[in-house]
Amino acid sequence: MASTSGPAGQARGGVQRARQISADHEGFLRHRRFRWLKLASLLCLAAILAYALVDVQPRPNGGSWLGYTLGTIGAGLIVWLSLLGLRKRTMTRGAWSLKAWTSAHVYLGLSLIVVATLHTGFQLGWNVHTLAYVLMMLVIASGIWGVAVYAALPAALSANREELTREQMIEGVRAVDRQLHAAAQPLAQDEAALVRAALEESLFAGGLVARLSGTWRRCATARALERMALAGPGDEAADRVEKLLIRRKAQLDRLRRQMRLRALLEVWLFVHVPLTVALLAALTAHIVSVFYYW
Amino acid sequence: MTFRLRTVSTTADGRRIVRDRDVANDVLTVGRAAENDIHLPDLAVEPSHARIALQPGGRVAVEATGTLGFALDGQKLRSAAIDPRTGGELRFGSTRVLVGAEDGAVLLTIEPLANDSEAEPDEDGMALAAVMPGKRRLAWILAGLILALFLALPIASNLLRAPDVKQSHVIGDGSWTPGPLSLAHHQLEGKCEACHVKPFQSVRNETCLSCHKTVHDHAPAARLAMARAEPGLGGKLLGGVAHLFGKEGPGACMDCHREHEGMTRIPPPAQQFCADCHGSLKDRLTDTKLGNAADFARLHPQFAPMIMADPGAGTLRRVSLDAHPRENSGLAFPHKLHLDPRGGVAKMAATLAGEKGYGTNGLACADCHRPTEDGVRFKPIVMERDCEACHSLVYDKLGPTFRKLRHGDLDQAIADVTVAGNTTEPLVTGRARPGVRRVLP
Repeated sequence: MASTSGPAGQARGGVQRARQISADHEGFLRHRRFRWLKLASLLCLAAILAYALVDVQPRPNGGSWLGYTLGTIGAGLIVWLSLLGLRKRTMTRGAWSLKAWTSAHVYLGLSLIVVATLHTGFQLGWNVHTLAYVLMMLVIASGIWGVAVYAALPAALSANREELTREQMIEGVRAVDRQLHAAAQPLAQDEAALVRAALEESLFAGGLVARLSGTWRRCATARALERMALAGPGDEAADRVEKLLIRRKAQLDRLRRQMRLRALLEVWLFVHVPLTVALLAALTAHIVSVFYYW
Repeated sequence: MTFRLRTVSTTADGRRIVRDRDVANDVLTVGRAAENDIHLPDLAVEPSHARIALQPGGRVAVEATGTLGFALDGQKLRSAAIDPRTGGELRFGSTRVLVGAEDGAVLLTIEPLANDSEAEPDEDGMALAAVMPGKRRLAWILAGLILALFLALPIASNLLRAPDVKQSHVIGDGSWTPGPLSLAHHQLEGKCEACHVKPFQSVRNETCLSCHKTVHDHAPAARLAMARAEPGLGGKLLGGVAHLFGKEGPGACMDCHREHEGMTRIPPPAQQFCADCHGSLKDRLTDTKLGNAADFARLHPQFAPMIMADPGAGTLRRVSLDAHPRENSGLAFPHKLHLDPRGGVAKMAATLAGEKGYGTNGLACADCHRPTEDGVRFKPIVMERDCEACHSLVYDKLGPTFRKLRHGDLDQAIADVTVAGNTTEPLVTGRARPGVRRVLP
């Protein structure tokens, strides 16, 4: 890591500091020696202490003064955390850099687990208040998944690519396809139909389940290969087609591994973002309903 | 007649190339195999797909030679006859063959159909976004549903409800309840508007009092206000915030009687509720006779029970427990004797156990001391009800009926006994009057 000069170096002054920031390659999790982790832990600790020490009668409740305080902090945090969606569109540096913001987003988001749970006073039920709580927990869980896959998957993604760009991978399949098309010309119609089905299949077929699980059940290339193999050794043309199909299948497999990794890497946002907006709606309903029936 | 084959192909940059070739045969074969007259390198075309033959009279017969057939003007067929002068469009796989007439020959224009599947999608097909509904759309749908069901519906239904609580019915506000009501208010479950009368206004004391009509103030309101301790800095802050949000302020019913805490009895108010005033009452209410009490167990003035000081005059007096008070009620009633499990009382109780419901181990407290109807206090002891089972008041028997003394009314009892003819010997002898010590001989 480039910035190993420590706090003494950081305190030395403007020029060095600026250089340090520009050469700073530490991730958003370790940002500024876990500054936001520490602040978020402090917030959790304060909330837990207050919950333990304040004697709310007859039992801890979101409607006590402590409950309202924790709720206000929680609601403020949720609104601020959701603003990352706007903030991320402008990248800046410095004390309020996007990296600092993201770091705070992760750790303060996690601290919501403590703050909001204590706000509930462990009173949950089938109501809009618990709906908001559950949505918040789902958003946090998907966020944890997101942080985990961002740490784990990019290496696998780049290993699977083997230095190829996306266009190169697709062009590889297309090259095999052109050869297959030519090689399949002498085939009988039933075999030609198998090859045609394989050629006509979209490279990006497969929905959410197929992509996440990595099982492409209705793969036309695999089926063509299977049938050709079942038919046994054929003439020279059939053998050539079979070899080309094997090549196509290998290329397709790599493409699909890439698609699976991409799906695992990206799926959390399809939970995180819509559920955040749903959470904001539920939070609005939660707060308005409390004051409506005040 | 001959065939003229016109092959149209398109170059990569969109230029059309047209080649004409005249064929003198009467029959043309169509297929994927290279030896066909019309060779279509298309896997959707069979090696030998169809034959096109000239018929006498200038018509053209098309016949499928394989299993797949062809389309004529969009209709799937296995054989067809076409007049070149009217024309027609044949389709084999992804190739179109237009039949027409030109210079006395049958013109077949062969043109591949534009292939859409070749075009790659502009977006990144590998991204999950390609197969998922948009995040923004999902978000709007979810948020819209939640706001409609859990906010708009209850509010609209509440605003449009019948003004009378008995007839009103609000839809959807069940999702707003933060917890079940207490047992006492259970019948109001789902009738939120009974207590939450006006939107954005906290539950008022007057709403509570509209049902709890007999509840009175603990003391006159002015004295209550005077007695209440000045809150500390934190208390002032909380009071200020509560006031800002429209709470009724100190002494409101809701301050102590919390609802939506589960289907149990409403928990009794904490003793802090008492101590707020009584903890340092003398400082503010200087004329009070009550001592300061901040805690029932530890910071409470000594209890001073009211005891009978003079049974003859009936004078009652409060005496502190510290002064070891002894009551002189005029009665000689030893609890010890009555509750001894091995004494005569126990024996008597055991013989009456079946009839009167006493336990077999002698008397218990509840055999004489009966609770009041509300279960809060005890009824005063009444001779006839609580003692007579053992201590009979019968003094005479007249046929099947018994004559009884009027207990507690001495003059009446004397009159009864004097006036009525004493029939027999007294039923009880050698018994002293209550309260008068018997002098043993």
